[in-house]
Order: sequence, then structure tokens, then C-alpha cells
Amino acid sequence: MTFPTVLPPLAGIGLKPQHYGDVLQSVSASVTSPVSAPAWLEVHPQNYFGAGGPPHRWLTAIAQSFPLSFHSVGLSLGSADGVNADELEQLAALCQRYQPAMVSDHLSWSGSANNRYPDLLPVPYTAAALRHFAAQIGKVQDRLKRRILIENPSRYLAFARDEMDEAQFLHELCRLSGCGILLDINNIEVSATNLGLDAAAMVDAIDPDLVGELHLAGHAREDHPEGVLLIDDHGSRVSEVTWSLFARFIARAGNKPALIEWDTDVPDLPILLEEAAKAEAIMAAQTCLNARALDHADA
Amino acid sequence: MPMLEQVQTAMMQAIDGGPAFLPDDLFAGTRARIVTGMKVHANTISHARLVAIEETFPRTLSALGKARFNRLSRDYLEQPGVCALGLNRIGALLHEWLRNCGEVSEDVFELARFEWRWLEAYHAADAEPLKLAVLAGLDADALLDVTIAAHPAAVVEAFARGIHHALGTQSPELAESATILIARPETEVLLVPASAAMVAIFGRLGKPVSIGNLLGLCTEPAGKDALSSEDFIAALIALLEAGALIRAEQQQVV
Repeated sequence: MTFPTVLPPLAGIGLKPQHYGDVLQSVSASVTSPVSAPAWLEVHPQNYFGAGGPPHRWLTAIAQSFPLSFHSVGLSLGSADGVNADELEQLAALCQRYQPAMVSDHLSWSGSANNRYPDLLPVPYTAAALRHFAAQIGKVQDRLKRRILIENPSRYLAFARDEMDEAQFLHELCRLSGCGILLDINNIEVSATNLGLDAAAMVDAIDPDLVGELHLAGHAREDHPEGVLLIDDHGSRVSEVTWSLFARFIARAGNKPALIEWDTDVPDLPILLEEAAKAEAIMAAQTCLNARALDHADA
Repeated sequence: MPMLEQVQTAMMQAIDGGPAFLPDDLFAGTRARIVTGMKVHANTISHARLVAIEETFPRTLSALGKARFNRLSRDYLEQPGVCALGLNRIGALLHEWLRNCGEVSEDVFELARFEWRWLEAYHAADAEPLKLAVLAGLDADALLDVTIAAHPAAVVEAFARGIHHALGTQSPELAESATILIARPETEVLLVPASAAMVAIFGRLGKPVSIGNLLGLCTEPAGKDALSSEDFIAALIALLEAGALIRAEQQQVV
């Protein structure tokens, strides 16, 4: 059995169980319509940590037609206790089984060895945390025998004594560990709004050569007496601000694999494919603009 | 800046115990804004744990009602060791805790135990079940030499009578059976009434064994527990038809 091994610079979607059948059908449908199938798929590997059963039967069938990205939510790389060893072993076994085109996790921590917190908690941007985090990435990459990507977080809190900004922390992490960046554009909008930062400047600060994948998602908005709070709930369409930041990034970076994430109140597959088509349209338009700019320069 | 471990301990205490545990100098911004941010994390964590338990035990939830199930789930999450489990294992200790908490009937904690066994069968390793048709073409000596083992998704369990009666609405035979075989030979989890002979055979399949040796183990002991050859064959066929057996490798034979 062979699986596609490259994540193309096109739009993918997060695979949900309710879409298994439709996604498989979309392979044959795509012969007649170029936008009826996603270019690639992303899964949370933790959903496939069971030894067998229907989820694996579906994923095995789907993986033969689509490049896969494994987006882990459980390694807890930033935990002071170190990476969760059980999760790493299960992830390694799953990578061996499906040979995904990409593997990623988050710039976060999720509890201690004795108390797991199913969330992506923030890491202080200090030199000490940087060294610790880089060492944990090294353990993961050594075990998986591959480079992984680390996603910038949605932040609701900023540590009082951060020693560097997020882009500096991520760039240093890449330099120290050899990892790449999964740039979540929605997370930039969420963090910038919540922490009073400049979202465009945050996008511009990221070195595009380090970015291996992009994420696009919707968020919820709450109005509090102390200000607006955006919550990264992946429960709606991508916001106009995030689309604009996405276009801004690829204008500089060129096209990258871009994922539509939708994890709560998941809609029917055609809605996800509409969002994916929009991402591809923005990338195609940017490709035309870049080509035209080159023509003008040559002339 | 405090050490990473101190930072994380303070955050975990605040998530578990509330804003009173949050140090004043850990985060930037106003106290109100910091508390709002911490609440997002605390709510996400609580919601994820509760949803994982709800999705694992839909029948138990239905039996208890949403409000009562939610209250008991919150109490369960306070128990030592529960939150050390990942979300896909967080319900592993629920039926035992319900049994000991003194707040629910036997039928409720037994229903939770049934649902956990069902989920384990659903996610168990896949294996090709041994088909009766494969054995049907063999002569007697070859048949007795075939080594078998329990399918990794198969389990035989007895539950409280109320559980059997509730399952009997799907299959009347389940209501009367003393024991239930839970099996998943392909994609669907099957519930099959298990006779005493099936239970006796299945109980000897912890390790691979040849059908000949299994026949000897089940029929030769003196006393009332010994099976007749006819009962053995009928029960073996029933287990095969349920997809509860696999063909094992020769070198693993005991």
C-alpha cells in the first residue's frame, strides 16, 4: 500500500468523521469538477490512537487518495515535565502506519505528567523556555525521524516578563531545533486582537522560508467591559481580516499548503470546500499578480 | 521570571481553583483582562473533558438525564488519577467510580461498564475472523490441528440483569442470556447471547490453542463443568459465526 507523500501548495480541509464517505466520493467527482475534492487532508492523530476499528478503515482508504497532514494536539511540548512519552510513541506508530506528508504540533503545553489539561496553554517567551522547548522538539524529531512544524498559538494572555516577541521565539526555535513553522493566520488575528498587537506586523515578521503550512479558521467574538475577546473556536467561516492577512502573507511568501480548520458546529462538506476554493482563488490571484510583476520587471 | 515549572504550577492551580490562585505578577494587563483570559482556558478544559465523557457514555447519559449526568461527571473528574488520562481514555474509571459513589443504581453503573466494553471493542485491533467455511473443508485431523485464539475485539461478559433486558429490546435473546459476547469482526460491534459452553471455551483462549487441545481441555475434566462433545462443537460454531475467533500462528500454540 502506498500513500501520497507531499503536501501540495493548495487548500486542504480538516477531516471529520461525518465527511468520510463524502470525501471518498469526492475523489471520483473531482474528475468532472476541479473544486469538488480537497487537495489534501489534515487529521488529529489522537483521534486514531485506537489500535483498529472503523476510524482506521476509513483513514486507510482515504490516505490512498489524499496527502495527509498529522496535526497533533497532545505532545505537550512546552510542559516542564517534557514531552508526553506515551503520546509520542503512539504518534510514532501512527506515522509509521500512514507515512503522513507533514507532522505538526503546537507552541504550547497541556498539563503535567499527573494532570492533563486538554487545551493549548501559553508558553512564556523567555530564553529558558526556548531552550526547553527546542530540546523537546529534538526528542520528537529524533523519534519520528522527520522535521516537524510548530504552530503559533492563539493567545488570551501575555506573560509580564516575556523576553522576546512571538516571531523571534519561533525563529529561534527553528534555528535551534531545525523545526519549521505552521503559521495559523487566524491565531494571529486572535492573539493580536486579544493582546493589543498589530496583526499585519506579526504576519510580516514571520520568515516565509520557515513556513511549511498555513491554517485558516473562524473564531468567536465576545464583548467584555475590558474589551473585545476573540476565541479560537474553529466554529465559523474564516473572517475577512484573516483572509486579508492570508493574502498579505502569500504575496510575500508564495503559495503554501493552506488548511481550512472547522472543529465545532462542523458544516456539510460543500461549505468547507467553498472555503477551500476561496483560499485557492486568493492564491491563484496572487500567482497572476506576481507573474505580471515579473513581466513588468523584465520589460 | 519564575522557572517554567513554577509558572505552570501557578497556572494549573488557577485553572483548578480559580483566580484567587493566580499570582498578580505573572501576566501583563489588568486583573480583569487576565481573569477573562484564564477563564477561556479553564472553560475549554472543562468543556473538553465533559464532552469526552458524554460522547463515551451516551446511554448512561440518557438513563441519568443531562443535568444529573453532568453533575456526576464533574464529581468523577475530581477523583485522583482521572485527569491524568487522555481524553480518549478519560472514561475508563467511570463505571467503577459510579459503583462506589452510592448515588446510582446497579443498572446505571453496569450500563456504563457495558458502554466502556463496547467502546474498547470498537477501537480494538483489527484481525481477520476465522470463518466456519474455512474449517468446513478440512478433514478431522487437520481440523483438530487448527490453532485458534480470541479475536482482539471480542469479550465475554455478564452484566446486571437490567442491562440484558435493556439490550433485549434490540434482540430478545439477549434479555434471557446470562452472558453477552461483544465482538467486532468487521466494522460493526455485534452483541450475541453467550451460552455457558461458549463462555467455557472463550475462557480458555487467553493464549492460542489447537482445536484438538481445546476440545480436550473443555471436555475431559471430570465433573459437572465438563462439556459434552456436542455442546463443545455447537458452542465453537456459535463463536465462529459471531466472528469471535481468529486463526493463530503455529509457533504460538500452547
